[in-house]
Amino acid sequence: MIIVNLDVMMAKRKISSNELADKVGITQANLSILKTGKGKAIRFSTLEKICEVLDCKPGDILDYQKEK
Amino acid sequence: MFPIEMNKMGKILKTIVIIGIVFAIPCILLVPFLLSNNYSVLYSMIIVYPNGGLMVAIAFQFLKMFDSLEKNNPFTKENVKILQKTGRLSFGMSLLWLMDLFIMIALIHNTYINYILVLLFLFILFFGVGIALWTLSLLLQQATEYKEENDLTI
Repeated sequence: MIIVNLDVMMAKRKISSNELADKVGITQANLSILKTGKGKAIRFSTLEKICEVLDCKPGDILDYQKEK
Repeated sequence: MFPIEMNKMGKILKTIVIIGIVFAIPCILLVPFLLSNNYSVLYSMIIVYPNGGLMVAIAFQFLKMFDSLEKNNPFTKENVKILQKTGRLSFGMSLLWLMDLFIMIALIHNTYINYILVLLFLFILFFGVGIALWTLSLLLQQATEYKEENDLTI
C-alpha cells in the first residue's frame, strides 16, 4: 500500500496546513484527505505543486509498504 | 443549471408518486366490491392483492430515491440498494402474476382468454422491469464508484 508522508515533510519544512493548501491551490479539506491517506489518487499537477512548495521529491512524500 | 433541474425533477416525480399512491389505495379497496358477483375473477384477487402491496412498496422505495434527487445527490450506495430492492420486488410481482396466470388456466377452463393474455403481458412486463431495474442498479453502482474515485482524487 501507498503511505503518504506529507505530515513528516511538512514538519521538516515547518509549514502549516493552511499555508501549504494556499500555496498548492487546493482546499484544506482536500489536503486533510491527502494527509490522512483517505485519498484514492493524486494528480501529477498536485504532486508537482506540493514538491515545488516543499522543495522535495515525490519519493519524500509517498512511500510503498507491502500489505501483511 | 443542471442541479436546479434535477431538484425540480425530484419534486415533480415525488408529487406524481404520492398522487398515485393516494389514488391507488381506494382503488385497491373498492375492486372486491365491484367484482363481488364474479367469483372466478375474485379468486385471482388473492394474488392481485399481494401484488398491490408490492407495488406500494416499490412506490415508497422510489419516494426515497426522489428524496436524494431533491438533495442533488443521486449517486449514493443507498440508491443502488433501493434499485436492487425494487428490482427484486418487481421480480416478485412477475412471479405473482405468473401464479395468477396458472390459477386462471387451471380453474377457469380457459374461458377468460383475454384475462389470461393480460396476465401473460403483466408477467412479461414486470419481469422486464425487474431486469431493467437490476441493470440500472449495476450502472448506478459503477457510477457511484467512479464519482467516489473522482471526488477523492486530489
